[in-house]
Amino acid sequence: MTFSGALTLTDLNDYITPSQACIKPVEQLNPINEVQKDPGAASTAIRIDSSGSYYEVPTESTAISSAKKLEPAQISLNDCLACSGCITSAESILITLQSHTEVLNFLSSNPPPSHPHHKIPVLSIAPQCLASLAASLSSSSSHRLSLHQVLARIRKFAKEVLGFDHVWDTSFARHIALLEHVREFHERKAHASSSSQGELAEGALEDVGRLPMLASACPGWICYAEKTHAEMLPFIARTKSPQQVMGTLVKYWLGAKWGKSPDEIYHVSLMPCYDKKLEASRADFYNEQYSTRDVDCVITTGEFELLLTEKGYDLSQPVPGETTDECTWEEEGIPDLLQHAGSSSGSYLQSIIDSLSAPSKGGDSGSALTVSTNAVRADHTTYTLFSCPSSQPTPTPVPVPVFKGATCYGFRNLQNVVRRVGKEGGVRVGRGAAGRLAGRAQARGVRRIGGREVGASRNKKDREGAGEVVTEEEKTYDYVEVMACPGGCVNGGGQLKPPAMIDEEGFQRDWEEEGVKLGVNGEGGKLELNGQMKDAGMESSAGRAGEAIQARWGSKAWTKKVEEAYWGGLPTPPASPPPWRDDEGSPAVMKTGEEKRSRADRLAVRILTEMCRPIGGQSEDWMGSMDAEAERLRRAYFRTSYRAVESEVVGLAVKW
Amino acid sequence: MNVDLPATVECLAELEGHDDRAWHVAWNPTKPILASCSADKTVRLYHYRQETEASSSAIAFNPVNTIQTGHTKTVRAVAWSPSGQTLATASFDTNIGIWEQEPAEDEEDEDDNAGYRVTTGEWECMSLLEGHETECKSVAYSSSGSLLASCSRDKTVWVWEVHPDADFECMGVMMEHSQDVKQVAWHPTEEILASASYDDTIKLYIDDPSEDWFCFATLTGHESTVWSLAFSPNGRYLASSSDDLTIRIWERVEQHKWECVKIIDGIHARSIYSISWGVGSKELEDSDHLGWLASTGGDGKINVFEIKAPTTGSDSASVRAPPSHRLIAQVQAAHDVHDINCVSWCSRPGYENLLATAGDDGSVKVWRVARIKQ
Repeated sequence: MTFSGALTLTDLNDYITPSQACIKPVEQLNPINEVQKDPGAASTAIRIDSSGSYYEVPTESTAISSAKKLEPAQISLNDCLACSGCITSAESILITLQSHTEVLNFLSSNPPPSHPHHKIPVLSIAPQCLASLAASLSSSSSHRLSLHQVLARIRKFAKEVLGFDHVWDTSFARHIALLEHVREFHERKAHASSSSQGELAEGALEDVGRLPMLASACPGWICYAEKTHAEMLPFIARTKSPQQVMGTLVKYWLGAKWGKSPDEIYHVSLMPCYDKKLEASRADFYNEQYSTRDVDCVITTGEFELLLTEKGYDLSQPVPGETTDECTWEEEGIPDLLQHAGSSSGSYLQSIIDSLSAPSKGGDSGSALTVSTNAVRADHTTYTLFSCPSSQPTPTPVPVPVFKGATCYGFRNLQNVVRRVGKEGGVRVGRGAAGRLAGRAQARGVRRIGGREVGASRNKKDREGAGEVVTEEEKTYDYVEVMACPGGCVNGGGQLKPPAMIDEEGFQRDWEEEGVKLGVNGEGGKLELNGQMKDAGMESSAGRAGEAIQARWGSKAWTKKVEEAYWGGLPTPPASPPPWRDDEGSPAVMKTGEEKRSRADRLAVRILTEMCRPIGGQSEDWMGSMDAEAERLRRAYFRTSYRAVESEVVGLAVKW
Repeated sequence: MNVDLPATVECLAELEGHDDRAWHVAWNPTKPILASCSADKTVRLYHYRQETEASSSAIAFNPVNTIQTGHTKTVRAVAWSPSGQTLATASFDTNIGIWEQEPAEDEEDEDDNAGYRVTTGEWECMSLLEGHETECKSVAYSSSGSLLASCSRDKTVWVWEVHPDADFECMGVMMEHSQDVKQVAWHPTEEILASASYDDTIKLYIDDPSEDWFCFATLTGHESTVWSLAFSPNGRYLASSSDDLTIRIWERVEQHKWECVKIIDGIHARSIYSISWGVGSKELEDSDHLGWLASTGGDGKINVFEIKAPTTGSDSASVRAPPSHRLIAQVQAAHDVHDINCVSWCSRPGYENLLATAGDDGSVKVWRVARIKQ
């Protein structure tokens, strides 16, 4: 099995990798009549012919006629999900099952619309993919391309060349995911505070989920948590990811509008991440009645590029009207490219901060909230919301931290999230193997409370619960936006690689603009960015170390480019807060932006009403509560669940 | 023992107690304590002291603590923090335990003659570092004690930052090796980390300005598994031992460039599982002394080499002269017929000629290397 070229795209240093061996046993479906052989006689060998078939051949004979054709091992995605042999993506398997050729095969075999077996092909595109394509296209031209332009071009290509009926980006689905996400956070918050006041049994907390709430949109993180950190599952938000919300919208809401059952729609999503393929094949997103998935096939940006190449299509060519209709509302009223300020990984944290800061919401009415951010290190930033109670009589009121959130991207930071949340939440971190040790470490924590180490985290939580004032440093997390990829989704494993002309003029200038000078300083064993390195690249003394550094910076600089493209040319995500109002530029655009969002809000509520059919008609807004049956439907459509995967490999002994 | 060699090796102690193969030994850098770990999942601590009789040069070793670690599988390696206060255990159960001693409840501490108080307080697991997917093979504190590194069969090397209150933060996960990583070792003064692997390579890592750890060099040359690593006390050289029955010495020729300058072979008949590079005891006025390098392995043999810096005669020579090595002492069948898994020099002043070994027979032995007076 060959690896797709797309796999070698980016610097995969910090990704979760498949483990050493897949433990799925190979089954021989057609038993071969064994020819009895004398012990010690020449054995057989495996040969692979030009078409990739496997043959068992006796070693003394080379005639293909005496060879037995062997069944190729088949491993389905669901085997992968059920197996703990790999941490996440066994990439080669994923590629064959959900690939661009699979999409092409479907489209070419899809009968015409008049035919009863015709399926409506729908394409949903993540905005991070558009950013990757925009950055790539912009790097080879003098113009910067907007996401709208790229979307317009893909739309034309997908409809006219490939034969898709509908093409949307997933930002409206994300809009709904964010609404539900915020709702879930407030649910948990309400439960947490009522349970700390002894109003709720401990068990009720598990039903609602616990704080800190952890983001649920990254399938790499979900997969990792299910396999190795089951104790994290109660903390992970149960709101569906934008991809799966889109799946719900396409197969159920739009399907109903079109008078189509879910299996009469073929839904392809274009994602920045391989693990989205795993997500799409989760049992929760499979409709048994119709034997269909909410998302039938996921392809990555890299695979989409292959598809373009195969079709000989050039995305650098403009299409008519691509720059004029910045505010297009595509058919069915689903808006294009709703921007959510905060992060290029979905703005989950920011949407929660916004909901807390919004004047009409939250319990702290009458007290203004301020945010302080702290970049702990690369890919880890904390956001603390302070309230300044105006009722406080002191001349300089002491700000009280009321909310602490963080963005944590990359495998390394993910480790620290697990440790920290486990500690603060008072849950035992880790698998069975940790056993007694963890118990001991925790027993110690308990025993010392009241002693010297008042900083013990469990204690902190208690103090917060008791309403004591804690400092920013002491404040425990309420929410963490967790993503498995360093740099977040713009740097997803399925994104396009940096363009080959890395040492081309424009690029080097950019590095210098960012103050990134490449070099290895001669002193102290510490790597330093210094001003000595010039365009020639690395000094010879830097040697291989220099090359490694250059490659890393190349990849980082590229991620920055994609990030810029994502925000429409702004070098960094719009400052947050103040939230998204500032990122839209001129007041006119701002107005349309706000209008667009409120229309999106109205559409979301309409969808909620149409899908959940609450008694008494229209729901007021997304936060409003509905009757029990409608709430059950809401959960079915917009939430999901997780389950721990038991490790099967524990117990294998290794001598060394 | 080879009578022609210029130094003798005397067995000072044979420490029994482990119920299974002894894997690793570590000398506490500040206190007279030796730690050993075993497949029996325990860590044993031994106190040692100079005998009080003036006529005797004997050193007595006594077990003081046995830590029932709670690890569910073999404890493969132990490492002391530079302060000597904290002990880290690496286990095949994938975890790393961080241990500190509770103060003894009853103050019946006995003073040893060196002023060290032997305390019997229990060793508590202060923290558990998880993350490795499979067997953790090695653990090591950086020279400042602010970083801890570990490696595993899962092919990864991790760097943790040590925080107060036995808290740790993961600083890096390096997925550079293509196979099992056998050992990690820190440079004696700088934050340079080395790892040895079943993929026959050695990798070197540093922190970069954006605070990510990364591999800046891969040292290739060994023809089989690299089992063990040891930096020279002056930090200029790195020694590695391998299943290919050689020891290689790599020199830091530039800030971030290390080159193989010497191959020592023909000294072991089986895998060289462990090497240790101590300061040794140098002869008077010997400015070229780079220390003593001890090696051991599957052949049950202990070799002690004296390593000397190249003579700086022709400094114009473009070809770098390698350091010289001389076998100064040897023990055959040091643990009878059993494999020896670890060898380690004591680093405490006055005890630098002590060597400890751990064998498949479950025993830990302490040896004293002494030059034969001429």
